[in-house]
Amino acid sequence: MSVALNAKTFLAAMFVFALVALFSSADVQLLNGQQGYTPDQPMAYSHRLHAGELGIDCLYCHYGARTSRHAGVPPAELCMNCHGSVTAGMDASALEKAAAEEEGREARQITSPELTKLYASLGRGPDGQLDESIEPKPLEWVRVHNLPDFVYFNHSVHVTRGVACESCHGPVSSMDKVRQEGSMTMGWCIDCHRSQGVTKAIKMETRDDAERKDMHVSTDCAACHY
Amino acid sequence: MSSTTRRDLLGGLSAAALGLGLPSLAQEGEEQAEGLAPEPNDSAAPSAKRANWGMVIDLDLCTGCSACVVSCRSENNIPLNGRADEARGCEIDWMSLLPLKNGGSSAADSAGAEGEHADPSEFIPIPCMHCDNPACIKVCPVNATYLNDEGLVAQIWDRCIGCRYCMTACPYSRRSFNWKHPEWAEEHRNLINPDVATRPDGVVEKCTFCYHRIRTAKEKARLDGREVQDSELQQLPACASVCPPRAITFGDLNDPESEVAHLAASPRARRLLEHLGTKPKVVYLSRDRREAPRSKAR
Repeated sequence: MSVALNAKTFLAAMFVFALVALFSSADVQLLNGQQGYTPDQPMAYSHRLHAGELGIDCLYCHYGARTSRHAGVPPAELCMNCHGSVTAGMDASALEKAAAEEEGREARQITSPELTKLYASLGRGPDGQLDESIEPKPLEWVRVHNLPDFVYFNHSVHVTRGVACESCHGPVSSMDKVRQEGSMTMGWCIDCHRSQGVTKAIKMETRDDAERKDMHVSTDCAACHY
Repeated sequence: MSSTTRRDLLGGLSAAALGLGLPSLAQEGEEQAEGLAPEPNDSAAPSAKRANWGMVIDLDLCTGCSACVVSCRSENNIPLNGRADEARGCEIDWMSLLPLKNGGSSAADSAGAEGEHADPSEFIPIPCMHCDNPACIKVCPVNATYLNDEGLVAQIWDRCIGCRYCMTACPYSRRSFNWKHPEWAEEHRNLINPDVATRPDGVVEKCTFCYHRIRTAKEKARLDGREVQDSELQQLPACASVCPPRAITFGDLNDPESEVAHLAASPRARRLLEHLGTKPKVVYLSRDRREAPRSKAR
């Protein structure tokens, strides 16, 4: 009888211990990483608008992904390639144009409040022109996809071998605010590496210039951990 | 104290191996040849061309300047724990530079050589031997260390449970245990190399042949649509890249055209403790130090 009681007590204690461990330890988060993480960014940049509606290629802004480990956050100067002349959304511009026509005046330049932040980061006024009184201060973007320090991931080897950005990052072109879609755990990486290793050139959404042949997909630990 | 003992032991071992290496080379020529150019691993058969990384260290060129030791520390984020730890035998050492007791096979010989300060420039740099038949991987209970398909004895820090069996098994003492969490002084923190993970306390660590540099070179070559050139590899690891007399050469032993394969075939080639059958892939070039005078080197 005392044996049964002990076993019950032990199980109960284990259960409580497991619960405490689950809810008190931050480490437990490592199990599923930061899946679903959607942090607020310093300005409401929309991937849905730029990559989705306007169809701008991922690599136009994240050009580092093709040639280096890091995809990188583009410098604000790159935004100015377009936003030097585009200062507001099409809807707002059309409204202003209509209003101006009705009132029989010339359309004013309008600047969306979000783009004002971009211009301010470059030391420019709301009209997009350089303004001496504004101190340039880079936007502090919040990193969404963050791997642990003991893992090394290389964007270029994946991108140049035909792995579409969406395979890992999910449907970014439909996200207003970027969310971490995959779990980005080791099992998640290995799943793909194993299936690629078997089928060599599995049919994926590939880019035109991608090599699809002779892929050596490593499952060596030291490929990522060193 | 224990550190001194370890050093003495290693020094003695190296002296014995180098002093007595030549006769054993002659006798076991066949085994030697097999060891230096190992057959391609069958398990890696699909891609026929697989590298087999190896290193040649020319002891006749080594001046004992310690640049390899310093650059290894700096490249691989090995913390400087100070003299106190070294005295306790807790220092972390991937590349060691040990004085070579010239040809001393007995204690009396060694003492004599030391007493005369016969040749102050005789040192032996010892990185991980990356054996083809490593003793360390056989004792690891969690597969944290293994021989990868490019012939490197890899150690996965995050998998290691810190049992230290591998340290006991390694006949070259090329493994170190992290007795405490690595720390850097504030002014040194910016020197941490982002390409190499820092190791937490409680795990064993070792030389990786600067695997991150190998990978970077391969990835760069792949982007350029070419093979990695031997010229890029020769001075690739941190120790080799800084060696002033270029005594350290790195490369692919499977590539018969590579500099390292040429050097490994030299009659001066010998390896440490090869009678143990570990088949180390670090090859030392050294004239026969028992009798030949320096002028007859090569």
